[in-house]
Amino acid sequence: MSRPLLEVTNLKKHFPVRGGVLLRTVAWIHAVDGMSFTLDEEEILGLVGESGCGKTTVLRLLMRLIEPMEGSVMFQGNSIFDMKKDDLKLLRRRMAMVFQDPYSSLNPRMSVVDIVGEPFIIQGGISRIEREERVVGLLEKVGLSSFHLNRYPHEFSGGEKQRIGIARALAQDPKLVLADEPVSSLDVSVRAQVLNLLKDLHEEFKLSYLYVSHDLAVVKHLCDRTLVMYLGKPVEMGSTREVYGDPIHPYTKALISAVPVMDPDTKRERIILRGSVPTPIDPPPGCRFHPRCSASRSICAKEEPTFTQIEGGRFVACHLS
Amino acid sequence: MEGTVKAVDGVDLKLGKEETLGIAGESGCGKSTLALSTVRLIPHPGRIVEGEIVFNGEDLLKKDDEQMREIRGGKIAMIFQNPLSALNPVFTIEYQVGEAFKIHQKIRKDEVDEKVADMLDKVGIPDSSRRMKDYPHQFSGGMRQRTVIAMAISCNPSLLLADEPTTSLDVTIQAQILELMKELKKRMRSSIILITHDLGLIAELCERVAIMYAGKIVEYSDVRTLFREPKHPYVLALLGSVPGLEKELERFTVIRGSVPSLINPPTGCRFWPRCDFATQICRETEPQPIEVKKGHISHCHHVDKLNY
Repeated sequence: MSRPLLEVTNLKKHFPVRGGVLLRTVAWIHAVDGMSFTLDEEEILGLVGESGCGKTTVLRLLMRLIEPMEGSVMFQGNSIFDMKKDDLKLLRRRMAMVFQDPYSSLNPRMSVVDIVGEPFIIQGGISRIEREERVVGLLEKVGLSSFHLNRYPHEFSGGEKQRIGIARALAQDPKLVLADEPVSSLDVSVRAQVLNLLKDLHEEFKLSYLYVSHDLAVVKHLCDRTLVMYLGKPVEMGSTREVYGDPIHPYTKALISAVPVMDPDTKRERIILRGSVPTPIDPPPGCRFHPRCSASRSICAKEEPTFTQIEGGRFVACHLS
Repeated sequence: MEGTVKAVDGVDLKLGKEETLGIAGESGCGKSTLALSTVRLIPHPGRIVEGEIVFNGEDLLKKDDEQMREIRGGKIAMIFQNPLSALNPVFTIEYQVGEAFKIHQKIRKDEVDEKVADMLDKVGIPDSSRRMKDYPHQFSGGMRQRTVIAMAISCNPSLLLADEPTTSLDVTIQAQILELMKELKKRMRSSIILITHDLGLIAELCERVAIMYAGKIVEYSDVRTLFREPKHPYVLALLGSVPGLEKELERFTVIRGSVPSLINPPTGCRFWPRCDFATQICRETEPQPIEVKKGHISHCHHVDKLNY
C-alpha cells in the first residue's frame, strides 16, 4: 500500500490554566491527548465528537497554528513540526481550511475578488487580469458567477458566504481540505447544497477532506471513514459503514442512538448516557468514558485502554471489545 | 434596507388539551416570533398588528400587562433555547426556581425550599438539595436546561412553549433532555408547543405538526401523515434534504436558492421561486388552505400533483 497523505501519531496538546497572583500554571487542559490516525489520498475522513472533545484543536495542530506537546504529523512524507518558514508556506498551500462560521471568516472590508484572489497574490507570479480570470473560474466552480466579483460579504446569504470560503480554499490548489463544521451554521435546505458541492469538488479535484463535525447524519453520508473522539482521545475508527452499522465502543453506540429518527413509526432503543462530558482539566483515570459507561468494569477505572486494531482498518479503544 | 419584516403573516393554529404541536421551519421563518407572540413577549419594535390568541376561551391580546404577568410562568410557561441566557447569573438556582412558586402560588418561604428540591429531583438533577445552592455557572449545559425546564413546569402550566429546547446542547445531552420531555409529557398532562428546526425531534415528541416557510404555515397535519404523505412541495423537499441516519443517500436532495427576505417576500405563494411545481397561478395568487383530508391542511395550488 502506498503511503497515506496524512499520518498522525500520538498527537498531544495541553493548554495551561493560569491562576493565582503570579499567574502560575495551576492545571492543564488535556485538549488533545494521544490522537493517532491516517488519511489517504482522495479520502474523506469524518472526525466526530461532542463539543470540547478536541476536534478543532486537532485541526489547528495540523495547520500548525499551534505547536504540539508531543507526537508527529507527517504530510506527504514530511514531518510538519520540523518545517521551517518556507516549507510551512508551501504546506499551507497544500492544506486549506474551511471554517465553521462564514460570517466571521470573511473580511467584511474585502470584496469577493480580493478574498478569493488573495492566495494568488501570496503565491505571486500572475497578473491582475489573470488573477481575476482564475477567481471567476473558481466562483463558477462553487456555483457563483463573475457577477459577484465586486460584492462584499454582507451582500451574501450564509450559504453563499460558505461558497466563497470554499472558493478561497480551492484557490491555493490544495491536496487536503480541513473542514471545521462547514455547514452547521447553515439552514437545512442550504446545507444540502453545500454538502453536494463539497462532494463534487472532492471528485473533480481529487481532494482529501478531514471533515470535523458533531452531526452524525452528515458524516454518515459524506465520509468514507469515521473517527470518533471523546475527551481528547480516539475511541473508535473504521469505515463509515462499519462504524454506523455495527458500532463497538459503548460511546459510539450511545452517540448514534442519541440522534432523533425522522420517522414517527420507528421506535428505537435509545442508550441514555448518565451525566455529561467530564472536564478535560482533570479527566477520569483509566478509560475516560468509564464514569458514563453502563458496561464498565473495575479494570476500566484503573487502566487506560489502548487504541488497537481489531480487524482490517477497524480501531477501538475499549477493554471490553 | 428598510421596511417592515412581516415575520409571522396570517397564521392560524389550534391546539387541543394535552396535545403536543411541533412547529418547524428554517431560521427566520417566524417560528420563534410566533411563540413569543403567544405570550406577548415580542421585543421592541415588533408588534402584533392583527389577529387573536385565544387561550382557554379568553383572548390574550385583550389582557392588560398585570394579567399577562400572571399568566406567564403560571398557566403558560416557556423553555428557551439558550439555558445560560435564560438564567440570571447572579442568583442561585434555588432562588430562580423558587420565584415562580412565590409569585404564582403564594407559597411560604420556608416551604419553597422543599418544593424547589422536589422540582429539581423531578427533572433529574442529582443531589438536588445541595446543588440548588449553586449558581448557574456551576451547572453544565444539560443541567442548566433541566433547571429551565424545572422552572417552566413548576406551576403545572396548561401550556408549555418550548423554543428549540435541545439545540444548544451536545448530542448525548440532547437525548437526555428529549427523554425527560417525553416523560414529563406523560406525567404533566399539559399541552406543549415545540418549536424546532429538527424534524427528528418532532417525529419523536409531537402528535401534530405545522411547517412554516417565510412567515406562513405551509402545511399542518398529524405527524404521521406529514412524514408519510406530505402535500406541500416545500415539506417534501425539506424532508428529502435532511440527511437522516436511517437513510441511504448518494446525494443530498437540494432546494435551490435560499430563504427569501421577509421585508419583500415573493408575491403569490412565497415558495414559488424555489418550487419545481410552480406555475403562473403560484406567482400571482396566494394559495388558500386546502383540507386534503380531515385535519391535514396544505397551502399549495398543486396539492393534487403530489401523489404517492
